Amino acid sequence: MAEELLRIDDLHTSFFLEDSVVRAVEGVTFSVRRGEALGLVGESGCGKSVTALSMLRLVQEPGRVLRGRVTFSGRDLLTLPESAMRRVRGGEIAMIFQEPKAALNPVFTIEFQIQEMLRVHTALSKADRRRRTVELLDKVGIAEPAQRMKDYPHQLSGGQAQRVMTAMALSCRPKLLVADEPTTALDVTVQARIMRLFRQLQEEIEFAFVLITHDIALCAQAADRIAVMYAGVIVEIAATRELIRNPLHPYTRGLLDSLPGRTARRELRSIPGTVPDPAAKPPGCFFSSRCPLAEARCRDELPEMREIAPDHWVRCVRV
Amino acid sequence: MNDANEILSVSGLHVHFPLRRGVLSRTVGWVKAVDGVDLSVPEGSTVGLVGESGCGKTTLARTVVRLIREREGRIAFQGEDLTQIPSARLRQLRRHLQLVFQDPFASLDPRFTVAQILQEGLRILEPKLSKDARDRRTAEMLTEVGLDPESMTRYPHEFSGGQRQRISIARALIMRPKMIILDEPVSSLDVSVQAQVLNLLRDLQRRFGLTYLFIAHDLDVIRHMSDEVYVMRAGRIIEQASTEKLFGKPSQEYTRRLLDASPRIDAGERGTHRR
Amino acid sequence: MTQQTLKKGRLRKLRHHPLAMISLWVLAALYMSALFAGFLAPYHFDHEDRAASYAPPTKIRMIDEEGHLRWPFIYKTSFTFDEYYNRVYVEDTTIRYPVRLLVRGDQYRLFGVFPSRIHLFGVEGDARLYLWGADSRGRDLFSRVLYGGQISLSIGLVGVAISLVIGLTVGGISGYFGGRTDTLLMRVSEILMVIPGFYLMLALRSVFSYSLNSVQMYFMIVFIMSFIGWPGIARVVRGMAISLREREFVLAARTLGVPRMKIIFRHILPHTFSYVVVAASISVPGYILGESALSLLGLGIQDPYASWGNLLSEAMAVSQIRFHPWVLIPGVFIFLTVMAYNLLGDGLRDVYDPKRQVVRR
Repeated sequence: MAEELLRIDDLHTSFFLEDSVVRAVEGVTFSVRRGEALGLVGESGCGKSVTALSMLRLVQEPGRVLRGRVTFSGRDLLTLPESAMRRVRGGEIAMIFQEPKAALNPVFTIEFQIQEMLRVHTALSKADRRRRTVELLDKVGIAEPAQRMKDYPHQLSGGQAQRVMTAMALSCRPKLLVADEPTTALDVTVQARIMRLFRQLQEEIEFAFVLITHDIALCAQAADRIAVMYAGVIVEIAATRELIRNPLHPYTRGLLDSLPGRTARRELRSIPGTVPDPAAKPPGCFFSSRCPLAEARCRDELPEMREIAPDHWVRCVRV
Repeated sequence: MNDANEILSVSGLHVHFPLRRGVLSRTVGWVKAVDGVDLSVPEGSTVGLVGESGCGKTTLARTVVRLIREREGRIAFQGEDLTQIPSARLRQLRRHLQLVFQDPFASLDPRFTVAQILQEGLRILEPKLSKDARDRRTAEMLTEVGLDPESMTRYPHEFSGGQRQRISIARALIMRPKMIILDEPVSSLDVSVQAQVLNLLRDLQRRFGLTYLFIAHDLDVIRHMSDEVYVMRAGRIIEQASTEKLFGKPSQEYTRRLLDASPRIDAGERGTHRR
Repeated sequence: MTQQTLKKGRLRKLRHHPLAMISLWVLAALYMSALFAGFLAPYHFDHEDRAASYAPPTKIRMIDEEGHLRWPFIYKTSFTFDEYYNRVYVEDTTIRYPVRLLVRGDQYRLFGVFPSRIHLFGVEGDARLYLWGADSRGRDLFSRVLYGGQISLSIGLVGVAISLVIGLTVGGISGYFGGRTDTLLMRVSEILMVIPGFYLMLALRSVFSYSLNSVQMYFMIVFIMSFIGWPGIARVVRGMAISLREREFVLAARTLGVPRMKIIFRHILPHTFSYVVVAASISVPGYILGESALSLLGLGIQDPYASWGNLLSEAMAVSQIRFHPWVLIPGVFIFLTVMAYNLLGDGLRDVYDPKRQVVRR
C-alpha cells in the first residue's frame, strides 16, 4: 500500500450566521495515498466542498475551521504560517472548480494566467515559462497551443476552459489535485473527455487526485476509493469496487438504488424525506431521520467509524 | 406515424432567432434553434427527448406551449393546429397542455404562497369556484404530489428543491391537463430526491392517464422514464426509436457517443481495471 | 425563513446605519408636527397683527422685574421708530402674560376634521407670543412653519406616489409588452427627460391659470412634479421588467393562461419593490425642492397659505436677512428634510440594494 500523502483528522468547520450555527463539517477523517484517486461523494449541502476548502484554509467568514488536523507531506496545514500556506496552494496542492470560466480572469490571456502561476511558484526563466505553457496546454489536449494561448477566456468553450484550468493546476507539478465538481457544468460527452484526460494525466504525472462530486457513477469510473459524505460526516469509505458491490451504509445503498437506468423499468427505490437542514440535524446518527433500519439507539449518539472489512469503514451501528 | 390516438404532433417546426448587431440592430443572421423537427406523441405514453445543452430541446418545448411565437410549421394538439386556431380556443386548449420547468427555484414566484401559486391557474380555469372549494382542491393536489396540505400558506423558499419541484408539478396538475411537457424536471435535484420525483411522475401518469414529453440530458433518466426516445442535436432530430432499441442498438454515431459518455456504474469501475 | 422575518432582517440591518436611523426619527418628528400643526401652533396661520410687522422673537422670561422666580411669562411689546424710521420693539414690563399650556385660542380643525380651540401653549389677553418672530404682516412664523410643513411635506409624498403609479405602470407595460408599445412609451419618456426639469416646470405652470384657489394650486403642483418625475422611474422599471419577463415563474404564469396585465401587476411589479422603496425615498427631496422653487417665485402656493417655499420668499432680499434673520428658519426645515430623506435613502439602498443599481434622479 502506498504511503499517505494527505491525512485529515476529525475536521470540524462551522458557519456562524446571525441567528444560527451551521455545522457544515462535523468530524471528517480520511486519507489520500500518494498517486491515488479518491472520490468524495455526497448530495448538495453534505459538506464535501467545505471539507476541501477547509483543508486549503480557504473557508470564508462567517465560516471557521474549529478543530482537526490536516497533515500533508508531514506538515499540519492548519497551523502553517499563511505565507507557507500560499506556497502550498497552487504549488503542492492545486484545485479546480465547477465553473472554469468564473475561475479564469476575463481580462488576461490564458498564456498570461498560466505564466503567472509559474512565476509565483517556480524559478523558471521567461523562455522556459513560455515553453512550459505550450507544453502544458498541449498535454491537456488543447490543439495548436502556441496560438490558442493568446486567447482570452471568453473565446473558449466550457470544456476547453476546464482543460485550461487543469493546465494551470498542473503547471507547478502538484502532488495533489483537488477537483470540485469539475464536469458538472459540462455536457456528458465533454465530461467523458475531461475525465479521460484526468486519468491519462494521472498516469503520466503521478499526482494524487481528490474528485468531489454528487455523481456516484462518475466517481465509480474515476476513483480508486470512494468516501460517501452525508450531513457533514463521512458515512462510508472503501475501495470503489468494494463500495459499489457491497455497500454497507443504508445511505450508500439508498444512493445506489436511487440511480435510474441500473435495471430496466421499475419503481426506483428512493430515500424517503430530504437532507436535514444543516442548522437542525437530527440527534444521534444524522441519517436516522431517513434510515429504513433506524432504531432507538441510532437516535442516541452519532456512531463511530468502524472497519467492517479490510479497508472498508462504515459509520453505522446496524451493520 | 399518424396514429388515431396521437395527442401531440409537431411537423416541420422551425424556430429561428434573428442575430442582431450594431446600433441599428440590423439582422445579420439567424440562429436555427429548432430546424425542421417532426415529433409525434401517442396518448398515454412518455416520449423522451434527449440532447446536450444548446441542442434546442428547451426551445422546442417552449414553442409547443406557445411561449415562443416566432416559428414556422405545424403544432397539432388533439388534432387542432395550435398555430391556426383563434385565441379563445387556444386558451381552452392550453390547460390541457402544461409545462414543468427545470429550475424549481426560478419557476415559482418567491412572493407567492403555495396556495396562491396553485390557485393562479385554477382561478382562470374555474373563476366561479368559491374560496373554500379552491382551498379544498389545492389541499387535494398537494396531497397528490406528496406534500402536506398544511404547507399551503408557506412560501417557496421554505421548501427544498425536491419539494419545490413537487409544487411545480401540482401547479400543472391542478389544471387537469392531458399532457405535461417536463423540461429537465429532475436535473437540478440530488439523486435521492430525483428518484422520489421520478417515482411520483410515473405514479401520477398512471393515475391520471397523463401523456409526457420528457426532456432531459441524462440518458439514464430518459431510459428509465420513456417508451420512445428522440435524440436531438443542433436543432434537428437525428434519431428516433423505441427505448429498448435506442439503448440496445443505436443507429447513429452521435447516439452511440452519448451512450458511451454517460458514466455507468456497473460498467467500468476504475477499481477493476486499475488493479 | 418566512417573508416576515426577511423584512425584519432588513429593518434590523437599517439599525446598523445610525445616520439613516436618525433621519428616520427626524422625518417622523417633522411629519408628526405637520399632522398636529393646528394643535402645536399657538396661532392660526393667517392670524395677523399689522402692528407687529417683523416683530422679533418674543423673549420668554422666568424672572420678573423684582427678581422673583415666576412661571414662564412674556411682556407685551410695542414699537417706536429710531432715527432711520426703522421699527424698534420695546417691552412693556407692567403686565406679565404667563405662557399657559392647553390654552384656548384660534379655531382650527385637527386632521382637517375635528374643530378645536385648544392649543398646546400660548398666552391669553392682548399680548402675542412670537416664538420665532413675525413676518411682514405680523403673523407668527412658528405657526406658519408648522402649517407650511403640511403642504411641503405632503407634496413630496403625494407627488412621489403619483409618479410611482405612472412610472410603474408605464415601465411595466413597456418592458413586458416590448415592441412598438415599448418604443412609443420610451420615446415619450425620453422627450420629457431631456428637457431640463426646471424649465419644464415653469412651462407647465404657464399652462394653468394664474389665479387658482389653494386646493387647485396644490394639485397643480403635484401634477407638475409627478409629470416630470415618472419617466426616470419608468425607465428603470422597464429594464427590470425586461429581465423579469424571461424568468421561469413568469413563463409559468403564461402557460397557465394568466392575462398579460395581471402578470405585470402580480408577477413583475412586486419584484421591483426594493428599487421602488429606495427610489421613492431618494426622490422625495426633489419634489419638496420643486414645490419650494415654484412657491419662492410666487408661482406656487399663494399667501395667505403657507408652504416652506413661499415663507422663504420673504428672505429674498438681503436687507431682510440682515434685519430679520428669523425669516430664514423655513429654509432650515427644507434643508433638514432634504438631508434626512437623502440619508435615509442611502441607508435603504445599502439594505435593499447592495449592488447599487439605483441611480439618482
